[in-house]
Amino acid sequence: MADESNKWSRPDAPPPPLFLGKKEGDLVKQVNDELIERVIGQVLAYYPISLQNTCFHPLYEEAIEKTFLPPIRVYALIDWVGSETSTEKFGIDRTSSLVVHFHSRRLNDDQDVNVQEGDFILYDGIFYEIVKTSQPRKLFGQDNYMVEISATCVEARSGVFNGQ
Amino acid sequence: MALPVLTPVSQTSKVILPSIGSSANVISSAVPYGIYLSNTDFVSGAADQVALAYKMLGGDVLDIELTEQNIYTSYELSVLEYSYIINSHQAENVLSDFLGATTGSFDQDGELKSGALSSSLSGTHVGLKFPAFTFEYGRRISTGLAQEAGFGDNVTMYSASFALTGCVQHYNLQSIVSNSQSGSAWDGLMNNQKISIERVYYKSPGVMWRFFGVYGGSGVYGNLSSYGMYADDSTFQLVPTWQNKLQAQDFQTSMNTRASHYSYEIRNNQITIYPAPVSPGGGGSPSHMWFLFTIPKDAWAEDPTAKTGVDGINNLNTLPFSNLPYNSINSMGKQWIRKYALALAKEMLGQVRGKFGSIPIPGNDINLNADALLSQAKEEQTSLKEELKAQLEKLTYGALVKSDAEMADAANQIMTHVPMGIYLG
Repeated sequence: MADESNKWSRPDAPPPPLFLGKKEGDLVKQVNDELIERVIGQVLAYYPISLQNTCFHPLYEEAIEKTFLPPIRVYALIDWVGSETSTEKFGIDRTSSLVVHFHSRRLNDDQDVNVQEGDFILYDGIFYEIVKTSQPRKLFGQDNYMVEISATCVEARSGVFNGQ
Repeated sequence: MALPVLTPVSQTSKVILPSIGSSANVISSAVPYGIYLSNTDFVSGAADQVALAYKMLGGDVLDIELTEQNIYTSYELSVLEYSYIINSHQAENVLSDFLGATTGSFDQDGELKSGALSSSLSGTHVGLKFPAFTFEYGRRISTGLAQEAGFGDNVTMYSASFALTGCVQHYNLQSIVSNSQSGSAWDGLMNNQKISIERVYYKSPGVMWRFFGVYGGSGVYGNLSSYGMYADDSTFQLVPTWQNKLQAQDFQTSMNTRASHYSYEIRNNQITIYPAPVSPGGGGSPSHMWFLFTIPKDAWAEDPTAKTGVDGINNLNTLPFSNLPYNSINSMGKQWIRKYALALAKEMLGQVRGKFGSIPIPGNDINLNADALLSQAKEEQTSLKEELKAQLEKLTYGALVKSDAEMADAANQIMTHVPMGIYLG
């Protein structure tokens, strides 16, 4: 039986990683901030939905009128996926979609924004709904250093969201 | 719909070079050495360098991931690099003149600490002084070699005499000198060393010789009755100066070779007088023989009075050169310092941007311009140093003398083409 007193315990102040410390992480963040905001400059308005203040349908758990928090200007790298036209039994339908690459630390550290499905964004005069999120990359595999939040967005149909 | 104007709640962890520096921030923690911090002009120059780096590295357009402390450091290093090159150049100029002088003590910054400096190098900032061109290196060699050979003004010549004894030809000069040490000028200096006999002579009244010289040829002018009593030159004629000079040389030669009744032979400091003295001190024979001798000593030993020894400045390392004072650097030097500091800042920026080969961004990776910055910085630094050194090579004192000589020769050559005026009378 293992000696209980000999169990490994995490030190209270573990040494920082040798290659990637706080300064290095901050440099990466700074370069990303500058590149995204000052060089590329793609901007959108982020509309977080307030779960507490939105009235959901008791049966379907959907809300026709969504209550949103004050929108936040966010810089991000936006991939325009494109628009597709489809013909269905109700007629012609055209939708567009985006993949928005948010800078994780900028949103979390500076703007206190938590990207999640169901929120809306306003980009190029069109509202999009976030339908899928992922965090595909960490900074050199380090803990607590997420590089990005990738959000797949589809154009919100008229009436789904009114942020005007 | 107009986009809402929102301000992020915070902007953390940014390192961005400010557009201008501040003299108040040029403090000991901002620079590695702080050698020039007490100089307000240096502090102002360092603060100005921030604005230069900001403009030249594109701070107006994009962020520069440097602190103003990085710029202050580059500025201090630049001044020190300039000081190093100038001091090296000046060392080349003056080392031969400063050899053997007392060196100094230096602190961790290369600044002179309080301590003894030779009088010829007294005061601070020896590197700024125009040398006296004493050619210490050549002088030391010639002095040492002359001393080895028993010549030169560093060799003390001692005089002694011994009384002649009738019909005695052999005398031991080594014993005579050794036995008379007490109270003599060479007391305590012999150390059982063999003395070196330089000259043996006897005396008759000097006045007679001085007045009549060697050409008298008649009459009795001395108080001796041997051959050496005679002197020449009892007639006086007007002669040219060169003849007098020749007569003087001839006089000395005659004294040594012809006008002496006695000769001698020395073997191992045992002198044999020829012919054997008869009735010394009477009957026309000298009573004493004098001789000059030297006591051998280490020709290369330190002489504290003449500063010809082997201690003291011996090469570049022991020259008492401290860092150049900031206010002794002229406008040309200041401009070099600015450009070099900018190149150093560029190198620092390259190091910062080059730690990661590529930086991840959302959805992609980017490569920064670290390689370009580093190569440009190295090239600029090398170019600046080589340019300065090449210029200084043309300005060594030796090169200046050659240049002046060439100019004088050229001027003379030009003069040869100028028609000579004809003197009409």
